[in-house]
Amino acid sequence: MHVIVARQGGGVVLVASDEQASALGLVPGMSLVTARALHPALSVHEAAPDADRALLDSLADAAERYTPLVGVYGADTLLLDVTGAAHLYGGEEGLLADARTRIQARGFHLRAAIAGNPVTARAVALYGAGGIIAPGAEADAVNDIAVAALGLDPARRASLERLGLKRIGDCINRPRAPLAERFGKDFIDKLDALIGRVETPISPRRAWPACVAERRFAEPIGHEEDIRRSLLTLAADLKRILEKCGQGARALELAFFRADGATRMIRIETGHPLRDPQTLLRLFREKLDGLSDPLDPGFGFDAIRLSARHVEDFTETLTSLDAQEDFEAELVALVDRLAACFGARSVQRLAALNSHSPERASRLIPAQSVGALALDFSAFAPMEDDAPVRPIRLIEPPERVEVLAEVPDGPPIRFRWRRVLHAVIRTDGPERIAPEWWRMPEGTPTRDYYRVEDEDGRRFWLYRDGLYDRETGTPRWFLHGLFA
Amino acid sequence: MTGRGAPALAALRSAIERIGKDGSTAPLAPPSARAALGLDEADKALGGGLKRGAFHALRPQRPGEEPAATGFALACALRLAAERPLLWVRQAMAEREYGLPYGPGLMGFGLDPARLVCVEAADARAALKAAEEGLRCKALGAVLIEPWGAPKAVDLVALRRLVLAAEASGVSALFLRSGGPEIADPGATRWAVGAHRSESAFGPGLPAFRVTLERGGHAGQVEFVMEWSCEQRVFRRAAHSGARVPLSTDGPVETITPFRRVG
Repeated sequence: MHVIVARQGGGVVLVASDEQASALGLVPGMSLVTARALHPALSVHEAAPDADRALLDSLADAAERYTPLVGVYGADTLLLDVTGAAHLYGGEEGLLADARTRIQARGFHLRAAIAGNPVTARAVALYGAGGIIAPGAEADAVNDIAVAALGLDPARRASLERLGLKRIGDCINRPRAPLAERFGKDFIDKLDALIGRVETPISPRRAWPACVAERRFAEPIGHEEDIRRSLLTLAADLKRILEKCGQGARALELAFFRADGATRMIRIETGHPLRDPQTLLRLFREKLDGLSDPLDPGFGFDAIRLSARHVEDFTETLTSLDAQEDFEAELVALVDRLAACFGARSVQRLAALNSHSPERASRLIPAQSVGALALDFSAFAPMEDDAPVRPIRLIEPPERVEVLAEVPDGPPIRFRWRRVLHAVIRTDGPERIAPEWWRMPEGTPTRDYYRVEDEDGRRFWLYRDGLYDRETGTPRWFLHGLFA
Repeated sequence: MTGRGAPALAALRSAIERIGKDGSTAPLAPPSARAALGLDEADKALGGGLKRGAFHALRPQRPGEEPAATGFALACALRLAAERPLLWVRQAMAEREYGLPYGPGLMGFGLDPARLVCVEAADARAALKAAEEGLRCKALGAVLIEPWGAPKAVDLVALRRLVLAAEASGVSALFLRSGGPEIADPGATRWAVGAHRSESAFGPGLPAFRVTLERGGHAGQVEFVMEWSCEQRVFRRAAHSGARVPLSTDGPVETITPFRRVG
């Protein structure tokens, strides 16, 4: 005999009880003290709403085998839009039976109903006998259901019951105007929704994918070669759909449905709209190879779905004489492969930001998201035989160095960085870089940058933080970069 | 003009437009088998230049010369790649030590960041895998690989895979090791790179290197001293740097206090 409890208000109350406990009258809402007094041998567990939610989410994932449109309602309800999906199971009875078998195999009890709209289905499943409600039969189906199914607040529910309106059927045939006056307009709306007079959309966890290709297998498949082959047909199917609407996929999802109910989703993103099956397959292969916990077919997958989650217009690239374009396409494909394999953040390009501040002038950003960002550093292009004025590597954050200078506002003549002493033989500077006052806190000191070279030809980018005498009495020095 | 001639002429015209300042016609024509560095003695020792589609190993000569070695490797990559893009595979650890690739500095060095794709690998194994993937992509000119320290994953077998990938695609591999014990590498050449003092009278001049060809070509313990022309993107004999005026922004120093410790 088990019950789940949670802290509510001042005390601990039951939020759920198993069949045995319910039969003994231990119902949700009762305080734990009372329950214990009635049945001292009670086994009590604390509620874990997060774990419940995760469990429901995993069931929702598994339910995606029937349709990509799955909504989670409350703590224990899944709503599925199965429009057009039932024929795969030999009709709605077949679908319902399949769902029942699968969910029972995972140790759950299922109350389920299929109806023309989600409100009716939910009410019949939770408060009625479940099953399939034919279009037009909604009013009959909900006739005997308790008014609790309307989801009203307790005050209105209580006054309904005081009037003897206990079942939905009691309300349906009453004149509507007095009911609306007494219980509010939304009461009538709820009633209409329940009997299917108004359309209610379900709000799915995720948007309907732009394009979907799906394969179901009478015999679950598990061999690598079988999986590869079905992925290829899926990718080819998807390509045909994408071609029809002139689009390519930017974000894709591959869902593997295992015969035992476990579901695995693999997602990839691409740098530009794609539809070539081989390329898609290669990207997914990279991703699958790089998974820390590999795809486990168990006793086999009985359905695989490939969906394009985000699409963009596809511009047909003609095979041209221009080798450059082919190269560019190949480069984009390489970036996609590397990103699939090592993560989008690991594959980077340098973006030029319009800033005087050295650390802000250049930033490594994910290569796939470059888009409209400027890669134009032409302001720093080499000029004749002038030495480069910026280092090839930037030390971020700058590192403190001990500096010996002839004069406090002069160039360094010796400095110590990471415990190594460098004697400076050449310097160039200072190049004064003022803080961007609109971005930096007030009082951020001006920096005087020096390019220096030590006696072995190593070159460094140092700066003095703060103008001597004007901003600081004892300026500190930092190393900010290394030249080749 | 016949109908057939027009596209051919257009292709030719665009080919002519592509001929770069250094006379390279890449990427239209397949690049020649060797990339001349520009310094005659070195090119002679290499039998005409660095071999394309091959594996070249580099290491800093002494501690503290890693930035110079990186510079030399980038310069070689630019020579090898002609106009094609570069892939720079770094290990996350190396960043803490030597900083991040810096756009303005690379541009000033002659490497336009628009041509550069970087991979930040979590460990040496990932770095090798990314490098191999890059070496298989014919669109690239060269792949620069910087593993950190002397990880176990970097062994002869792993490097051999890179050699094969480079040979198959024609993309050049530059493998820059920082420290760690010597390991056998299957490369076409191996270089030890040191920094060289500027010749300029004022501040630091163009990047300059002292390099020893340790293997490949007519390897001998001969040291080549060369300077990198960032604008021409070619190596040349050092001592080319002209005098330049320091970019002082403040007025002349007025007070002189002898030797005072600051910072």
